[in-house]
Amino acid sequence: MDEAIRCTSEHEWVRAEEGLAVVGLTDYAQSELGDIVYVELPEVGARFEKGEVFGTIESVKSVSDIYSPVSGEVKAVNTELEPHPEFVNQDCYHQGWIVKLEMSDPSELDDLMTDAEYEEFISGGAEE
Amino acid sequence: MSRLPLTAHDREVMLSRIGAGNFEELLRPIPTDIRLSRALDLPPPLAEAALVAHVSALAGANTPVLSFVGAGSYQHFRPAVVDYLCGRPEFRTAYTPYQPEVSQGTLQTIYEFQTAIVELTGMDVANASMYEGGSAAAEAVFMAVAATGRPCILVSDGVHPLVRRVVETYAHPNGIAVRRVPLLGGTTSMAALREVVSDAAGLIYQQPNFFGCIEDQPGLIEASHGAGGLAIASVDPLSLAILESPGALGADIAAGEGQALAAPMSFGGPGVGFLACKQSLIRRLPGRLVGATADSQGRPGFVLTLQAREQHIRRQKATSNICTNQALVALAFLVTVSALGPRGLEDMATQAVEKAHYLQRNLEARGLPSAFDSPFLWEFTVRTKGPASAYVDALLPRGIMPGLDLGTIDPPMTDGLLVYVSELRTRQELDQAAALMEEVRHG
Amino acid sequence: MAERIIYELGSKGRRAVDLPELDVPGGNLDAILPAGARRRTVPMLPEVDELELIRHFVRLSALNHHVEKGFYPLGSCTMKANPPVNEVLASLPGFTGAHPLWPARLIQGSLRLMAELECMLAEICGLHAVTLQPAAGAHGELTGLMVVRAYHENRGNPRKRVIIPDSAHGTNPASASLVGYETVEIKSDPDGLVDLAALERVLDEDTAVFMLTNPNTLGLFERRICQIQKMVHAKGALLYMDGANMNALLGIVRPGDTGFDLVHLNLHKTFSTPHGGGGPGSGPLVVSKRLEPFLPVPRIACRQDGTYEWDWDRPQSIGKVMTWWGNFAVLVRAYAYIRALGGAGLAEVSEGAILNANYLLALVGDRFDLPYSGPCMHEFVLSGDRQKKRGIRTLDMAKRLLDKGVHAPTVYFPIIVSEGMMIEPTETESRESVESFARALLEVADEVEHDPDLVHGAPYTTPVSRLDETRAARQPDLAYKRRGA
Repeated sequence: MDEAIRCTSEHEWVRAEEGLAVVGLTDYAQSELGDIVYVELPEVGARFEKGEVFGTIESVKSVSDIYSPVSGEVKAVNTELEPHPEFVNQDCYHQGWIVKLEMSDPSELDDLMTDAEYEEFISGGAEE
Repeated sequence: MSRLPLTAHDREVMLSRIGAGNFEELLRPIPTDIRLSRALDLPPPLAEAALVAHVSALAGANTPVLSFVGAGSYQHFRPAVVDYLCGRPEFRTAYTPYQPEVSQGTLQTIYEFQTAIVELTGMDVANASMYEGGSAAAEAVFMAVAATGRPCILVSDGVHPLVRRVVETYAHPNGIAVRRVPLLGGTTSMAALREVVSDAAGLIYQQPNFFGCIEDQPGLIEASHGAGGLAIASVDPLSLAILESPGALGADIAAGEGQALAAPMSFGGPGVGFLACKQSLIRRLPGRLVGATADSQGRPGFVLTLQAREQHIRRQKATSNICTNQALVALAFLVTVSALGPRGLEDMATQAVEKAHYLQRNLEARGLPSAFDSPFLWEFTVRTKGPASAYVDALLPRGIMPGLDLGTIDPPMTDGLLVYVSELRTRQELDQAAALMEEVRHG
Repeated sequence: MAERIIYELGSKGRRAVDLPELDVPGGNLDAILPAGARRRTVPMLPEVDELELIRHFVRLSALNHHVEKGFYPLGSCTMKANPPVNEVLASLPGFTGAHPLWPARLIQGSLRLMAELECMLAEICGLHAVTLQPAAGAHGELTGLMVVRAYHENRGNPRKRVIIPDSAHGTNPASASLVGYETVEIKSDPDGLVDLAALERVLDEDTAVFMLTNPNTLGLFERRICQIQKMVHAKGALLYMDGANMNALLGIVRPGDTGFDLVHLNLHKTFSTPHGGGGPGSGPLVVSKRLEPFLPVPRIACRQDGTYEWDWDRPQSIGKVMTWWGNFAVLVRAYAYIRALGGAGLAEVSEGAILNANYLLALVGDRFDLPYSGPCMHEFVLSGDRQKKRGIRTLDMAKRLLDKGVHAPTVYFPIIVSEGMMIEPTETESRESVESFARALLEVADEVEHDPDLVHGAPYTTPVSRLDETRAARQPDLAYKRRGA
């Protein structure tokens, strides 16, 4: 896992990069979902509050909402996912990023889990 | 009842294996006070021969006539091979292809049906069928509202009044406003359309419209698109053999009823609805979709796909609740268009057009002109002298139903008779009908 | 050996049927149609002769499993036998040739059949009135929820929520959304039944309706139905029955007698009309007296002289849910089925369904996990958890069953059972047939223990092996395109 990322209980990760928050799905989430077949992306320019649904991710037999880990405006979306949804499976932290947000309140990052905390969270969750 | 397989001996063996002393023990979860303490009060059972006699008598209580009623349910030539193939138990007694390895027959026919609809409508993608044309139009409205975020839909008065009623019924609980666009001279009024189009999710029009008139399809599509809405075409698939497809003209969704090329009228059902759209709307498309893929050894095969849109996965967030559709009638549609081929389909359409125009000229010459000047295909509105109902009443005793009395629809047009001419009508039948109608005109 | 796509067969210019010569003056099409309205390209449709056409579809048909070939224990779908005589009756020209807009005097036979079918379904359900308009079960649900909404609106408040157990069919919440209701899901209790305390917590004055399947999707009868109906009605809400499982109740319990206000039936399940590879079905809605004013138009009315007519004058009606009056040819089959059996015969149907299900459960139950015990009704749900510990999923076992010449059960449903297998034998299977399926399932259970790889790689004998669903969804190919086109 990556030192620089923060994670949510909904299994999104976020990484500050050049002043923007890059958002994707964690490795745990992608492996639970299985083969991703489609990612519904928001419009560039759309604004989302922390915890708001900004897109959906579809596997063969499931569909899940993607929640915004922080509040902000969408500055870029990964259009490569349209022809290549498999990037989310193959390389969820880099090639499989989903959106880049301009954060309205960067301090929101502090509320999220560190990777170590997330590891603990999912290992606890796996017992359920 | 002797037709069920379990004998008294079977029941004994089975109950003993189950460990129950008698059948009643299996019903112990049911509180006794809600059990039905008598037999259902139904007519006594009929053995097969008696059943055939009884139901045949009911069928015989309908009165066949030489009919010129269309208005959404059409009689056409049905090649014998259609029922011959669709009656096969392999198609008839299978269910939704949940196990694709043993359902390739059904799956491939649906893929071929989707292809036929895509070809005819000029759209990018079509689903595996809808119940029928009216509910297909209603589902198209939901697609447009979801795609645009605008809770308002425009419906041309040229759309079949009962289809319009279905759309209104579906729209009401969702707070979707349905605005009617009136006709002018038989076709959708462009001026009226421009007045109401601005904030609508889209426009539904019918081509040719309910009164038989051919709409200015490019104009309607442009007006709806110009206001940021979608264009939804309700179309008769046979007409697409000769009329430009809605897809080629830029419409976003085509919805319609395929009965004319699939099933007998059967008092209105079953037919087969279809719904086709542009690629960009694919994930808003309701219902089943069959896609091509390969098996683990690389052999081609088909599966139900994009199922995450559907109710069994997405539940309350699904694009629709549709589950069972009209697969067997979709197969009949496919076999019909395959038997006719593109040229046979064009022939059938052309013959119906020529015969309808022959009758229309004949009626006009006898003082019964068309109500509208617009071009038409096989259906046209006659302006009757006196109420249209008089023509129905006068011709029925002669075994002819001369058309639909438009005084019975909403809004009523009491001197309008909507006449449909199938390619099955002979010149003699057309002449006879025209002559009898002239007699009524003279009183 | 794959069958080629029909669009690849044949040759340009071929066709399977001819039309007669035009007997009126022709050649006017160009003058009739405005140039801009004329189609410019010929649609790519098959061009085949009749034998090619027949062979194509006959070869395709051979790739299907179906009821008339073998056991089809698809839970919740009631794959019972479809009497051939009903096909003959639905094809009578007096029925097939009738136009839906003909005046009532021409269609007395069709109207009478529909009126009598309505009466019979009302009696079967212990309720007051029926609409035959809905084209399928989910369509009946939708109609029912529209009726519920209209009922509450008429009382001044449409209310907001629909309560649904977590074992419900997916169509229930989807239908609720389609009529603008929020869905509240309640968990089932450890016995697989409605948890009354959970129900009590969510029931309130904003609850429009509680939708319940009875017997539920686990094949269990909701034995506290009387308490449930009292709780629901005390809040002014309605009680809806998803009648997908009505095959268990014919002549035994009537939904209306247990407090249900409305129920939809699936004629293609309970009343033996063929499933057609996914339709056409029919989903009549049966309602209590107070809901009748809201049913779709038109209603069938019987005049004093015993003739029938349409009644459109129903000011409180929800409107229409399909263009015409219902899937009439399907109604003919269901009518014939009920007339062939009569009241006592229908009760035997449900008894046979319950007996077969319990017998099958007795034959196989100890080799699988059984999450909910007790006598089942017409179907039961096993869990493949025991086999999963050996690395074999329920999906694998389902595929292996296909190799044994039977269809798989419904799998992974209801979603509250992990690795679920929902098995419904129906009453039309003989004891030997049920035993034969049991042997097949037990063989698979043996194979899981002794040769799991064999199960994991199944199926082997089917026309194709497992298909790549990921590829199908990632690169949707939903219509054939001619090469080079």
